[in-house]
Amino acid sequence: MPGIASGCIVVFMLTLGNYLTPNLLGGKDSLWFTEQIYTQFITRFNWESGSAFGFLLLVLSSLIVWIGLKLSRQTLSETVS
Amino acid sequence: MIPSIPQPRFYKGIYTGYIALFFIYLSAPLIVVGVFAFNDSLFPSMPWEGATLKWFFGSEGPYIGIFNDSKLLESVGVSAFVALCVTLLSVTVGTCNAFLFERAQFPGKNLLYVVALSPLVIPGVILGISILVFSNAIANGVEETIGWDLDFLRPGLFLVIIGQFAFITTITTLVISARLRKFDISLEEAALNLGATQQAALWTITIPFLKPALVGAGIVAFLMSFENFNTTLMLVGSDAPLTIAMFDRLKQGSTPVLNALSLLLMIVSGGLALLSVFVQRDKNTS
Repeated sequence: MPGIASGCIVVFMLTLGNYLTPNLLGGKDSLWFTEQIYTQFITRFNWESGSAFGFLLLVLSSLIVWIGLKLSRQTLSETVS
Repeated sequence: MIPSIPQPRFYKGIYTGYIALFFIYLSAPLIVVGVFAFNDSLFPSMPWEGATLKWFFGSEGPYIGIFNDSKLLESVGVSAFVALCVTLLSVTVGTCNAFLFERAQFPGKNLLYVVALSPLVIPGVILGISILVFSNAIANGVEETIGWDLDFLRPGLFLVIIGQFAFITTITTLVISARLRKFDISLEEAALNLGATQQAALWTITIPFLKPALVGAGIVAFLMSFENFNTTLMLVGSDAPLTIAMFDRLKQGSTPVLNALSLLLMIVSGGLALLSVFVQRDKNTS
């Protein structure tokens, strides 16, 4: 079970924080969160709203990982070591 | 599935088919990329116009081979430099971390361990922008108060190295501390008992024992730094590492040069991965 939990966490984080794959394969009509953050930061120099988006993503992802760990009755340090 | 227990032929067939499908799914895109590196056409797609090595060695016209494309070669150099720095830093710090978390006892150790592991659960993009914002705030503050322009805190190679180092250290820490946990501490005690100094015991007993993990962690760190995109994208300045350069090139429209480069990268990283497998195998027998 710790193996399954850590596998889920790693896959989830890699997918959620990925920029390249959705950008290249997602097509023109798609809107991705990481792409949005990148646009706010680099293209528009709108660091405030970019930071807000980034913070939202961070909180959401931490929350989901935390809930997942609680539901499977694991702790982070047990899962990865 | 336990191999020693006989299975019905039907299940065995399904299992084999599943494994085969999985590996086809993994390797088919790579094979296609590799094959089209040899296509004698300006576009890395069908139709097949015949085999050529122009995309590797070509020097004139639209056929600029990878070995004559100075920009791509330069970005390979930048990436290798960054990866080397990150490897050295993260293996050193990872070893120290492993000793800290495996040997020492101190209040707040569990909290510190969770903090050290947290880059695993932070998306790479977030790590990139937070380092960018943080260093930029410091640079601006310093410039306003004392008037120094700290150029290395602006987006550039230094920040790229710091950013990759921040999360690759976590990986090296995990790899090295897994090996250190298997170390029999009485060996070190015996060395100390026989009159070795602390330093000598460390360098003659512990570090040689850790060597496979150090080399393996180094290879993993190098590869992860080399292929990292998300964190690098946010921190990059004017010197583009390879992944960024390839991405920019891809946005302009790709030529088989990128395929040729990808093929070379696959071969090199595959070789490194094989090397790390052999290093790990030594670990099991010794």
